[in-house]
Amino acid sequence: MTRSVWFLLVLLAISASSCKEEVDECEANTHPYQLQFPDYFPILEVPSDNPLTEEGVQLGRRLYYDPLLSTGGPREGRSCSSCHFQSNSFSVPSTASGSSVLPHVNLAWSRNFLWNGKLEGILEDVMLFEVNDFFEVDFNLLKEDAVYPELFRKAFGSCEITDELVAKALAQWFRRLKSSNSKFDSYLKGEEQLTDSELNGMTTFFTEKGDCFHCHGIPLMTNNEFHNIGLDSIYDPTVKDRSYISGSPYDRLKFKTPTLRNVELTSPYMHDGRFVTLEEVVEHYNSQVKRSMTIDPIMTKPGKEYGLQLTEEEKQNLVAFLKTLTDWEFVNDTSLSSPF
Amino acid sequence: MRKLAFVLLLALNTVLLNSCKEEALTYNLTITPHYHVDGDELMLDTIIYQNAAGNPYSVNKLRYYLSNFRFVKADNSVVTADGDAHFIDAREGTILNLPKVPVGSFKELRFNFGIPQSQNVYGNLPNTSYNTGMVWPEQMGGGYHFMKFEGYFNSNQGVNGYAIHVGNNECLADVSISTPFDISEDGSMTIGFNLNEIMTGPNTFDMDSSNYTMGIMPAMLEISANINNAFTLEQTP
Ligand code: HEC
Ligand code: HEC
Repeated sequence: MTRSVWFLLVLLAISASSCKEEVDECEANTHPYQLQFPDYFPILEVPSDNPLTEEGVQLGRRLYYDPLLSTGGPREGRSCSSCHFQSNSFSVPSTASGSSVLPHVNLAWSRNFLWNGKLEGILEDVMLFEVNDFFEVDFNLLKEDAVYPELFRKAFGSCEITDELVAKALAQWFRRLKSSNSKFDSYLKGEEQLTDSELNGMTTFFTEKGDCFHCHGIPLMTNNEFHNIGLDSIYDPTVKDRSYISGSPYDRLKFKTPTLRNVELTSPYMHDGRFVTLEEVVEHYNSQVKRSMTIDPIMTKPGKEYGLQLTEEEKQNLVAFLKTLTDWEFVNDTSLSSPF
Repeated sequence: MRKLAFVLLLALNTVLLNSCKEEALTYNLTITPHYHVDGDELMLDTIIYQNAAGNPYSVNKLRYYLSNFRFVKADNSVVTADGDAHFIDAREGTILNLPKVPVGSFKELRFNFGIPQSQNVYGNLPNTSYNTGMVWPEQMGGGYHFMKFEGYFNSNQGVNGYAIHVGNNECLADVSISTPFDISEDGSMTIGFNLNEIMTGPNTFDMDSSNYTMGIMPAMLEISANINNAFTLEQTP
């Protein structure tokens, strides 16, 4: 054999092995993650190109709690968790950011996001917005980081760190933020009884008496649609309600129905945080509903034109029922808290 | 021995033939609802229609179930074409698919508007977000809403919303359309749904006197009684 052939063979062997190594280097190493929820929950739709994995969920969790995501951007120094506290069902007890902070709970089943529905679609789309437009993440910082490249490789089999992969990891984490273990859930499963007061409040909630269920129905306690519940009667064009997005005058004064899961922990209430206590919220529905063109017919239905007209006791019972929607396991689960 | 083999072959043959025959007996039928208001095409979200009571109104939401499709033969015998309950959203333009309808000539189409009692139990339909959005609380009789029909109208006090909701087993409507049709292959039919008929014939619904029906049994029964006249068979397979 001539020397040149030998040379070629060696070269071939080297390039073959280096090629193999390159593939190995970026290979994913994932374990499927099984999300548990009661069978009365809606079917969970997960995009086929982003299945839930242990590695993806853990990566999303780390990103959520890491201020590195905001470094150099308009929200420098913050992480998602700076405005979304686990103890408050991943919302915040203040309106410092200009509007009431929506909780991160069961958003896997949501299709409309933010109070006015500015974001639509699946979590991957929403997270892409949060990463690129809200935080303006500098991906070089993640690439230069000591741990992220390895975590992205394991979770996604990628040597690259792109906005899409950051969004995918966060989307997996948001699917993991599932709450279905409240006292009310135990009651639905026949494992726990409610008190007389809670039962009485539940009846008001789920019958024409209170008619709350139309918008806050089981199991998610939100219909994920937009309504005007009569907080204001005069349209203020500086308030970015649903009509700001849709352009339709029929959407004026409308906002997304928030979930009532963990509502005890998500004060202040309403898009602008105008109410501090659940008693104030109930009093709104009871006697302070203001009429306007777009008010939901449920608010002014026959016999309830002047509010629900509940007795003091009935109002207290309704609040007692709302508090059965708190999932203490969810807010205390250490596998949902900061990994740092 | 040879005889046995022959018999077995024969048996096999009949089985095969039968299975063939059975397949030939059913076809796939799609049903497209065509929404209109006394003949005018439905345009969502604008107050351009007028009902029998004279209320100018818009349609912003129409979600409902059709179920228990049956075909009536010339000899008045009734065959079930599809026993399922189908969720329909007018905004999404839902088209129904009945995978196994029987072959034949029929003189009448029947179906239920709503969900038959045996199926009208929460959790009975797949927990899709559509179905969970239609839940009718246990405390008010349970099951699912049969219809959510919502929009705006010009009332004597300016623009107002209306919400005509129907549910409860007593309010299940039985619709029959006496238009002959044939099923001889996979096909599609179009059924007309005149939204004005929800609010009239026989019971005229005046939004000015009531813009809300959920749980108000007399109102829901009146609406349910109107439904039978709301449908026509516009295009046969
Ligand atoms: C400066 C405070 C702040 C930070 C930091 C923050 N959020 Fe939020 N978040 C809010 C507020 C306020 C809202 C509600 C705003 C609205 O609806 O207009 C919200 C709403 C959301 C929603 C919509 C929830 C729903 O029910 O529609 C999502 C999703 C979300 N945030 C994700 C994130 C992610 C991901 C991060 C980190 C990349 C993050 N947020 C960081 C304040 C913050
Ligand atoms: C027509 C739909 C509708 C009905 C009926 C309804 N709600 Fe609401 N609810 C909403 C919407 C929309 C908001 C947010 C409004 C806003 O911020 O402008 C809301 C907000 C709330 C909040 C504040 C939650 C938060 O995190 O800010 C509570 C609590 C609440 N509703 C409880 C109830 C109770 C109790 C009833 C029955 C008495 C009820 N709702 C009936 C649509 C509805």
